[in-house]
Formats: sequence, structure tokens, C-alpha cells
Amino acid sequence: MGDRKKSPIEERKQQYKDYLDKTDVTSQVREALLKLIENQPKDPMLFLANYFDNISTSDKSDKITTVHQILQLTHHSQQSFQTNLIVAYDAASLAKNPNSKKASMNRPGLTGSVFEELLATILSNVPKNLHATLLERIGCRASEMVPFGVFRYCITVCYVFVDFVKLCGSIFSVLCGKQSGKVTDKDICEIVISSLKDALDSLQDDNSPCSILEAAYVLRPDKLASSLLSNKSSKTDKSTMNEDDFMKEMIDVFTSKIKVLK
Amino acid sequence: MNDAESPLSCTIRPTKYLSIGESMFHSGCGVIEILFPNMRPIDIEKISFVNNYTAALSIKMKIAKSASNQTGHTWVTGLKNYQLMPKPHCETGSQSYFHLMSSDFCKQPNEVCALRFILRQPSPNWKTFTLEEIYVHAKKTKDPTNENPKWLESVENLSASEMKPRDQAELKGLPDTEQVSEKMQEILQLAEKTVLSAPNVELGRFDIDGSYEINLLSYT
Repeated sequence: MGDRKKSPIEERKQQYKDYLDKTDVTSQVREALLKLIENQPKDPMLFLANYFDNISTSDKSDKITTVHQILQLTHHSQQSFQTNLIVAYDAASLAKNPNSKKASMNRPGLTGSVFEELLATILSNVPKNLHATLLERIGCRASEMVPFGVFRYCITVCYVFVDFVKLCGSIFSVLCGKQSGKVTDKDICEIVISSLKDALDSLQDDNSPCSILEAAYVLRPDKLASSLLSNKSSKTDKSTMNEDDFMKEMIDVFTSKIKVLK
Repeated sequence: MNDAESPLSCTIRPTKYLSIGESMFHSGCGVIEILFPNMRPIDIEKISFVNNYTAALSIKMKIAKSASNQTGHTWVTGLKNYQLMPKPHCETGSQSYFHLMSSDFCKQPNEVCALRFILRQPSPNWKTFTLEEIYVHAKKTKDPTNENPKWLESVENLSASEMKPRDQAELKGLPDTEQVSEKMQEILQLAEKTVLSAPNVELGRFDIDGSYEINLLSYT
């Protein structure tokens, strides 16, 4: 008797389960939790919200947005960023239109033009005049196929660059200090820029731990302060520099150290 | 490295007297050869020895030619007729201790691989003459690994009463250098990251500044 007729509670359970399976919620939630564990973001709720937001819009969106969303999951300093890079590369190199009969549309692989668009999307928060020099160095040509090594390098550099621009902005606001407005002493800016240049120069290619320490030594607060002080006593005229020019010069210094693709 | 105090280990050949054929006669000239086995060329700081009836001493040095990008050696006179006994016929100086410093040499004894001591005794009074207890001391070389890196040395040579530059800067109304430095260090990390993630594959571009080298293009 008991076998034939299930208890009402179990029946209810089965009903719910059927519903979840039918609407594919189970697998999606599991997927979301997997991603959450994998990336371990600081704010899990925000991460989940973004994740589901992306899923609901992904039907309409194109390849580039999908890839961008995958990359956006974690910060580039996290370990899982490397995994995301691989997933993103696979997604980006899918054939454009698998159903098309034309052979050129069917070939998988990441072309330079798609890649260029992707980089532009990543850098969309940075004003265009600032990232032009960067793209010159790491951009790919439309006809080129992008291998994974290059893909990883360029994407990482782009994310690093976004962080760099943010840092430059905050340095500038520190330099401005209590002064109102968006200008500050030109000499101070130049000292900061030149000391960054010195530090990057002393960062050698071989990446020995000593060279990192040496470079960091150049940037210590006392050194900066003493060069600022010696400058202050020698000059009296005051020319100013605005944020745009400061950013441009900093970026020039930074991008000149970025390896050009060959 | 060898301390200047402790002598180098070297092979000292016994004194050979100048002779013609088998016949032994008093030529008044002898040679001591000193070799430095299993060692790279050395810079000599000091040579010390005890005289044993040698009147005058000349030293020839075998010098490595590595400085002029040539392999091989040349013989150079380091010391010429250095008097050990003021009067060869008399005893004075015949048993004295001698210290030859590098400044006594007419040529700096650097990069030396071997030494030849040429001993002279013009007086027939003394049948045998030689030098004993020869010790060669190398210059103290600065060991580069022992040198402190720049960033380990004291930050700024400040006396205790003096203020740190960063405090001075703050007083003068300059921007907060500590914050700026902190952010610059972060930038350094970012730069480090770009270097580390450099690709190991190449796109295979042949052009230089947007144009192609004509010799690289071929009809294939």
C-alpha cells in the first residue's frame, strides 16, 4: 500500500524538483555557485547579482560582450583570472557562425579585428586619447590570428593599464592636496614622473628580486621628499600642470616599458 | 678569498744555478721559479723571504694578457737588480728578512701567473746562495657578493637632531610623499606584472616600423 501511494509531502517534493529541473534552474544555480567558489570575490552577493544579470542578457549579446563578462569575473591579480582567460579565449575563438555554409565564416580562431574590439571594450572606461599609445604597442592587425600567449599578455596588460590609470588619478589628487581645482605645481609633477621613470629603468629584465627592491628603493618616501625639497628651494616661478597632461606623461613612461608584439 | 695576512699556496722550485753542460763552475747566477697552481692570475700585494747569501735580485713576472682580449702570456720585469747585500763580499744582509711591497716593483704585479726570481752573487766567497721561506701575499680582493646593496644601507645620512625629509616636506606644505610613494610602488608592481606575463609566442611579424625589408620578401 505504502509503495503505491506516496505521502503528500514526498509528492510535493517531487513536484518542486520537477519544476526546478524543467526550468533549468538547478543547473544554472549550481553553475553560479561553482563560479562563485572558483573566483572567490570579496562581495559574493554583488558577484552573483552581476552573474545572473549577465546570463539574462547573454541571449541577446554578441561574442565580445560574453568574453568581456567572463574576464570581468575576477580581478587580474587573482589566481582564477588565469582560468577565466582560458575560458574567455575559447569563447572568443568560436566560429562566428557555425551554421553558415561559407567556409570563411565557419573557421574557428580569434582574429585581430575581434581582438581589437575586445581590447577597446576593456579599455572603455579610459579616455581614448590616453590609451591610444598602449593599443599601438599591443594591438593586433585585423588579418592576424591571435595565439593564446599573446591573448593572455594583451588582456593582462589592458587590465593592468586600467588599474594604472586609476592609480595615476589618485596620485594626482594627492599632489593637488588641499588646493582647489584641477591643477598643481608643474615641478612637483615632473619630479614624480621622473622618479617613476628611474624606478622602471632600474627594474631589469631578469626580474631578480634584488632589482625589484632596488626599484622600490628609488621610490621611497624620503627620497621623493628630499628631491621635492631641493627643487622647492631652487625655484620660485610657478607653472602649473593639469590632470590630463600629467596622466599623459605618466602613461608615456609606463607604456614605453611595455613589450611590443612581434 | 685569501686574506692579505695568510700567504698563497704556491709551488716553489728549488734554486737552479746557471751552468754550461755538465761542468759546474761558479756562474754567480741562480733561478727560482714560483708557480700558482689551480688558480687564476693573482694580484700580488707583498712578497717576503729570508736571504741566504744572495747579493741582488731580479724578478720576472708572467702576466696574463686577458686585459687586451688576447690569450697567452708575456714575461715582464717586475724588479731589476734589487740589492739584498750592500757589499757582496761582506756578510751584511746575507741573512736578512725582506718584504717586497707592490710599490717596490717597477711594474704593478697584477694578473700574475708565475714568477721567476733571478739571483745574483758576483762574489766567489759564497759557493751557494738562495732565498728561503718565500711567501707570496695576494691583494685583498673585494668580494662583490659581500658588498651591501644600496637599499640596505642607511637611508639618508642624517644626524639624530635632523628631521626626516618627509617630515620637512610636510611642514613646507608639499604633498604627502608617503601616499605618493605608496601608490608609485603599486605602479611598480603593475609594471612588474606586465613584464612577467610577456608572451612566449610570437605573431611572426616581419615588418619594421610598418614597412617591410625588401630582402625578406620573396616569391614563394
